[in-house]
Amino acid sequence: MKFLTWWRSLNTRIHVSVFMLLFLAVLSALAPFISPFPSDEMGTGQTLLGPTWKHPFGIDSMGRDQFSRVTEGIRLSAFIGFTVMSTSLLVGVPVGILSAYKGSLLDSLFSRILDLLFAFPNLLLALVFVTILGSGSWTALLALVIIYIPIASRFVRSAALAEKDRDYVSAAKVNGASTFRICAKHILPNIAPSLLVLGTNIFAFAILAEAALSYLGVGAKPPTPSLGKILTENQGFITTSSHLVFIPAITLSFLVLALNLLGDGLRDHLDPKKTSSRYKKSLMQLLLRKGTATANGGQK
Amino acid sequence: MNSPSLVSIKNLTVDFWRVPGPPALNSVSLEVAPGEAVGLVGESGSGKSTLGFAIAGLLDPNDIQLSGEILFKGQNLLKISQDEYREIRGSQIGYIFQDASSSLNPLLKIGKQLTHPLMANGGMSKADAMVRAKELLDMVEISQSGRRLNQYPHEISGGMKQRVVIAAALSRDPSLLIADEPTTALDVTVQAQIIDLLLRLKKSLSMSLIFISHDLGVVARVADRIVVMKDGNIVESGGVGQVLANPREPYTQLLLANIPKLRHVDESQSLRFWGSNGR
Repeated sequence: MKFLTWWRSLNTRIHVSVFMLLFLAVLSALAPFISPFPSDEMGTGQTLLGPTWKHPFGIDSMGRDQFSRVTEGIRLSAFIGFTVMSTSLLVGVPVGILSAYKGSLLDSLFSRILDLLFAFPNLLLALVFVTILGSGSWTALLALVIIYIPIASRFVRSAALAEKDRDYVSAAKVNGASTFRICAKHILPNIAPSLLVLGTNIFAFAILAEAALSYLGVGAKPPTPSLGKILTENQGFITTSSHLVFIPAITLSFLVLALNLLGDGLRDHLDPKKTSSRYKKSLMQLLLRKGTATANGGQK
Repeated sequence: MNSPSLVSIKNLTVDFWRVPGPPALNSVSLEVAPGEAVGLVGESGSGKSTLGFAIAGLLDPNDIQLSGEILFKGQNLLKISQDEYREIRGSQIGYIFQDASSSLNPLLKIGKQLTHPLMANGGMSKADAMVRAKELLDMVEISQSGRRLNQYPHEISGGMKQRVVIAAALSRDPSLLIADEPTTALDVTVQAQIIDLLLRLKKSLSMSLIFISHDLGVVARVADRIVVMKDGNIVESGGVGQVLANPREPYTQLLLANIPKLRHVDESQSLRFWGSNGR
């Protein structure tokens, strides 16, 4: 009963996005039962097959079941998005809050390091890291984490800056609270709603960026069914077997759309005062800084 | 005044280096005796709040240049380490902010906000701190204090929030309470209650009070001594009766003249104000 009331209080965007995400989750969880073929097994004996009951998304040029590949791609994307999100928040939150609260030298130091990382376009920076470290799923993941840490830190810093001059922070200070206590008990909980929104947005953008890297051939290695990789492998057959390209592309868009809707809905739900476009703009500016290149790269 | 002062400020100068122009406080000296209530009055921007902030150490050291000294029980607050300062602030200085609703963390229950400092600084156990918090709420005359501990700030009224803030400031029996316009955000009846409460508490707990306000009427009720500030300087100070009855400085006279006096409204104006069938 309590859950139902709470659920009704959420807005439509959250409802829609939760159903979209649930749909994808159920789809990829049930994949082994719907289509019991390993994603890298080429033994189906056929190539470039259209959708059938046995192979719902068809069979690719190497004779692999496309449904298994796409659903595994969803799992991989979710894993990468989640890892990038949690790691960048884990580092970005303490760095951002401390930087904002302590100010002076520490803040300058952190900010200059972030500026340095900010000076390069997202995807370019990722490409540089991957080139240095050698390509592969894990290095792509590492590169994305390195890219999203400064974005998270800067966002947290600006949110914490607004919070640290509030009276209750001063009040806690006069009452003898330590720096740690003020950061952890007063500033962090009060910026948590913004962090939730930041988290879902990083989740979505990291998925897109990983797809872009894989598409460019510096992310996942061939048998790994990353959604970006599936697109490169099949783009040559777009005129003859277009479903091999469109289905993974639509799946990727569907996943990212769901996450963005969730972030958008959460923002409105958690902070009705901040519906003004300024807040959204500040977050989007951070994420989309050359992010257009990322998005195009993934769906070219 | 022969008794040793609790707070003794000598030639305190505070300059916000990012802000051009004269310093916010210009070589200010002030003594506060134990148990004394000092009223700091002045227009906005006169430096009265900055003085309060400086004593409580709330000014960001990156933003300001400080000189002079603030002696608190003989200890120079400007020379001690951050940790020692925290210790003193936590146990001996209480601060009440202007806007009660913003000086309570909106996400923590009243009980949590009151017990945190008690546990962190006073070294109390959680159960003891809860008992003490309830006592504090009783002390500031909040009804149903047990229930209030489990409520969030948005669930109680503005006047009650200000009482909670006072309770928090008093939780560790400070010897100095700085009240920075504690009644400005409240309506007049609640204002009177809060001031009565502050006066009673000051007497019963025998602490010193620095009462910052731009309202001479309120200060006259609370303070033993009035200090008038203008542009970062102390322009006049003296006993309440003396300053109010016989202001020496033209600026103080001006402040006094600006208090609306209902008795002196002249007939023609009041008629115009109330309309033809007024009174």
